[in-house]
Amino acid sequence: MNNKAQGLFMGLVFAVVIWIAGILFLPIVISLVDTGRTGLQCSLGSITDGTKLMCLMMDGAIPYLIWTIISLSIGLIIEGRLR
Amino acid sequence: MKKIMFALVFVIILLSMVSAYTMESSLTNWTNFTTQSSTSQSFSGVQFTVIGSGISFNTVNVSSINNATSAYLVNASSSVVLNSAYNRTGNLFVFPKNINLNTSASYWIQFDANGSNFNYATEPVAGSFYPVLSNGINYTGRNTDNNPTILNGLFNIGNLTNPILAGVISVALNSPEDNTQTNLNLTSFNATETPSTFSLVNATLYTWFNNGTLFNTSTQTITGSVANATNWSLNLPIYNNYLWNVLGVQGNANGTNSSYALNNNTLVFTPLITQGITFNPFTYETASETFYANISSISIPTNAFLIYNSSTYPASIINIAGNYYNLSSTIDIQPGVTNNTFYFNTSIRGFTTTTNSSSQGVYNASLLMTSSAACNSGWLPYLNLTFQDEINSTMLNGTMGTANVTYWLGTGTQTKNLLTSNSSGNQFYQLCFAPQNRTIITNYNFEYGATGYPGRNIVSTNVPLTSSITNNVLYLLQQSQGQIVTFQMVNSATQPISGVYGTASRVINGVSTVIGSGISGNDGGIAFFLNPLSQYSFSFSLARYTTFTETIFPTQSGYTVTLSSTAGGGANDYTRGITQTIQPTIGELTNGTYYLFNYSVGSTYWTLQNFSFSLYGNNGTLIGTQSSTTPGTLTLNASTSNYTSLTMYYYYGINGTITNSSVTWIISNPGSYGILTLFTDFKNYLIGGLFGANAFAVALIIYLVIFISTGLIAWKVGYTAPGTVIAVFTGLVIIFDVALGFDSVMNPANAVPYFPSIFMLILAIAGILRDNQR
Repeated sequence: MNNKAQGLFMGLVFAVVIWIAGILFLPIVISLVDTGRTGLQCSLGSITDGTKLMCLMMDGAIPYLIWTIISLSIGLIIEGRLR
Repeated sequence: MKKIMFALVFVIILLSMVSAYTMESSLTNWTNFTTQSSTSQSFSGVQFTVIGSGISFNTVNVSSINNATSAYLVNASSSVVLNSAYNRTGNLFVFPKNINLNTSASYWIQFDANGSNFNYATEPVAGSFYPVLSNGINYTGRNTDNNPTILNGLFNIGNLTNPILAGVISVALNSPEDNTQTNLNLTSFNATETPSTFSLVNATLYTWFNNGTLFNTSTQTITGSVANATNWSLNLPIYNNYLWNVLGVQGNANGTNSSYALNNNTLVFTPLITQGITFNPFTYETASETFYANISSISIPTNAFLIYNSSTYPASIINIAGNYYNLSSTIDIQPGVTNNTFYFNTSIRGFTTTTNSSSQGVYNASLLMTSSAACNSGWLPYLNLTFQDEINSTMLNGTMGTANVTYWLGTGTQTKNLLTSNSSGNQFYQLCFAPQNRTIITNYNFEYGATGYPGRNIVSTNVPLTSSITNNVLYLLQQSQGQIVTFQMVNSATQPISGVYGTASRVINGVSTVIGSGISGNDGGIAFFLNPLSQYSFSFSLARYTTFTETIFPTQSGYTVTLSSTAGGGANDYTRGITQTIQPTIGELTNGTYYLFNYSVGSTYWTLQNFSFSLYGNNGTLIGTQSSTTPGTLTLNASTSNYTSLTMYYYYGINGTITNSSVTWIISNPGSYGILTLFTDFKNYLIGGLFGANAFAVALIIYLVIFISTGLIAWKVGYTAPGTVIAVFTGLVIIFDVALGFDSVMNPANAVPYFPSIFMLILAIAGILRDNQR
């Protein structure tokens, strides 16, 4: 196995590790988002604008986390292929 | 040779037809199965005992049950095991499935009359048992009670095409046990199939949704001639109540060679597991009771309610530890002696689920008025009313024109009322209460009098009474010794005031004693029958007015009392003393979920005329309106459905002036955590006025985003062709208009849905075509 193939293999391994860790982390973040949204009363139209921005940040937490997991995984694979 | 073969085939077919006809004849040639009235399932119907081997059947053939529409199979505990509801075809009652009857158990077969269960049934000979034959049950019955002629016949059971076989397979459902709750979607099932005569062939797990729709079947091949325990694993797709059963098959699978377990098991797949419910198993009407449910949940429960006797009450949620929560609610028990079923429901990840239900017995809490010396057994006297002459303290026989008593055990949200009268003179009246030794709160109004003594009133509110009897002396004045004195209540503008509570008292035996009380009506008047030669003290009070007290000899027939408004607050400050509460105040509102919308108004200063609220969806649909004229709480149980927001418009009225306001809830779906949720909330917040933005400002922001994004992309990528630029622009317009749902902002008239996208698509196509022509 040449260096390029080894790099690709290691990239794949790390990508899978990052992916699994991220997926395991996801339910915890979902629970935190639920708690946060409940506590901030995000559904109430009368909350302050600052609170609404906080709610929007919580809305974006899960998509950002998923993007981060995918980006890291793909990045590791590509990095391993280019090494 | 060919002819011989044809003849042979013809003979075989002919013999089969003759055989079938013979069997059919034997089954339908069963008569004298007469019907008659019966009020009970027990000891009616054809009784039989399964002897030796089991029996499986799905049809009952009876030739002369003219009125019956259904046949019922009833077991020894009088439970219906199977019924053939409305499946009758001719004289054939078709049961919905084959069923395996327990060996050595007794069963009855009964029939109804036009859908009225068990009104008509066959009359058996009590204690007789009939063995199962190969083609049915040998029965003996009688046609009527008056004419107990013994009739012998064959009660035919069996499917014509699957005659009863000697063997039977029995199935036992092992796990999960019936009514098991689970929060795991991967569930293991286990059943034991026990063959007889033939070897096992297979076992099929059937699972149904609670509406009867088949969800899944899973068949496993099994072998052997002894009992086999079979396991299945199944992923349950959604939270629901599932029914499951197993069909075991042996031998050729005909007749009793395939059978289900006798009853389906229920499996509840829920995000909530009920750990325990704490409550008083018995209580009394109007008493205050607290209910607790300990649950474990896969996520944080929100919006908990107690459903008690079909009424909904808010409940609180306390996290005990980890995934364990405590739901609780305190309510006043509705009047009515009954067993009330209750449970909690709550929302977990957008799914509304319930705890186990329990039942609470409610006993009678009653107040009675009696003129007897003692209360009835089980009752205790709480209040004793006697009558005396006000001047000389002579005991009198009093009459009770009206006794109006409102009473309760709890906080007063649920009350009972005693309204009675007694026109014959009695030395005393007692208010007796059961249950004994419980404190009640009362509002009472007694209109009393005596012969030669004009009537008086005594009014009082929030008076606690206990089994330590309270003795009240009601004083009267002789007709010749008094006169009617009217007190006119007015404000500083000489307008009459209603609702003023007035008392008249005088010193009797050295003690200041209330001899009469009342509440002013719309004319502002309160009248007392008083002795002008005696000195009386008067007190008149009403919220937001200074209490007026005076001690006089009531020599005049009328007095005017001017009540001055209490200091502080503007004359038209209709927010003074007003408390308003709106619910739900916390937690998310999720779509497709029912919530209890409350609007409470309390007033300690003004007299509230009315208050009301209306709930509207984001599209202007009126969901519901509630209103009241007395302070309290208005409640509306409404679903968020598919609305993106709900707005409650509420007001209260005082002196003809309306004070109104509104509150808006954004509807979200906490079960969704995607990018669409982010933009949906963003859109709702913007439209709702995030940083003062209105719909136009939102449209302007979207335009700037599209414009700048197109420019940046063109600059970075380097394309300059007009068609390409317009195509990129169009793509962004479609994203905002269609994908992210900003169509209501970008196309407020909405004459043509998604018009911006359609318009830009046409421009983009034209631009690209023109670029290609160049």
